[in-house]
Amino acid sequence: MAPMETPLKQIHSIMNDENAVLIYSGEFNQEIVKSMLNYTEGKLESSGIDDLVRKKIFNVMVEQLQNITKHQYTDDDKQIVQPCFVLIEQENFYNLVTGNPIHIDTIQMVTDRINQVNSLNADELKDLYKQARLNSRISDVGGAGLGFIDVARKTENKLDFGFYDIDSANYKYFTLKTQINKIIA
Amino acid sequence: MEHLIIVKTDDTPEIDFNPGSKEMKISGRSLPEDVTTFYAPVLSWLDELEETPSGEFKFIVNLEYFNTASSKLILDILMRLEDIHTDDSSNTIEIIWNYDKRDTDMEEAAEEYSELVEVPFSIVGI
Repeated sequence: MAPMETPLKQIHSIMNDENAVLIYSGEFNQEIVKSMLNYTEGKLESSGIDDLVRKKIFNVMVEQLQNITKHQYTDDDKQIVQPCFVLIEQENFYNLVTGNPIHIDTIQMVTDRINQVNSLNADELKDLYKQARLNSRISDVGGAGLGFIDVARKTENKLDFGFYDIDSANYKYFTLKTQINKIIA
Repeated sequence: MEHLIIVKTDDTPEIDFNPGSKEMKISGRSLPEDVTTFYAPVLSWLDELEETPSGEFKFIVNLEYFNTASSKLILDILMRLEDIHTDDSSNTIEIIWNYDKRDTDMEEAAEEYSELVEVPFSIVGI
């Protein structure tokens, strides 16, 4: 996988070059997530987007945003780099990019999970989702551990991800980029 | 059995479980921050139904969207309904899952649930 640019540089270039629907960097909580969803739905509706594509964007955006909300950390109470979300419109698809600090101890687990999801076809993803849901327990932070599988199924595209150094011994900056096609097969 | 009504919000569905009409309806969007707390009264209501001979109930789904955490709780609800339907009590359950007929993601979600529970299950594209 080609390395992505550093997140802040990437956001900066997106702001200049791309048709950004929404760019946000800061604290994530449920109220902010709801505001971002309302804003995005309104903006997409007025753009005359296909209802089904809008729904897919909403679905995938919820998973990506709630994933950040549920996994926010501070490094020894010192605020580290803020999480971010970017939704950009390209000619044939939309990209949804999230960035957030994650503890180095969880990098391997996240990498393994995404690589597993990326290695499976649609039928295999369906089976994995059904099995994982049967075995899932809602975690302390309210997740079911199904987000990556669901996003891969809904987007029908591979998940693009990376980890970048930040000014912390214990954390790296995790970026996840998903792609939703404008034409749904 | 009390009539359970939870008014819908931006991130939680409407719940309308009516022992009089014997209809249990869930409608709208489900993406609460805390799914366990939101669905606790729904599961308690079903526990009570299992203990109370009440007849033939319909579970009617009109969900536009649910997140993955809600997907797990919906499975818990359906499994509870299966228990009620298959145990020795006189209560029976029929599930009617309505969806926007263009929304193939929702159709597929409903089909996957129908494969998991042994309850009469209709999937209706509207």
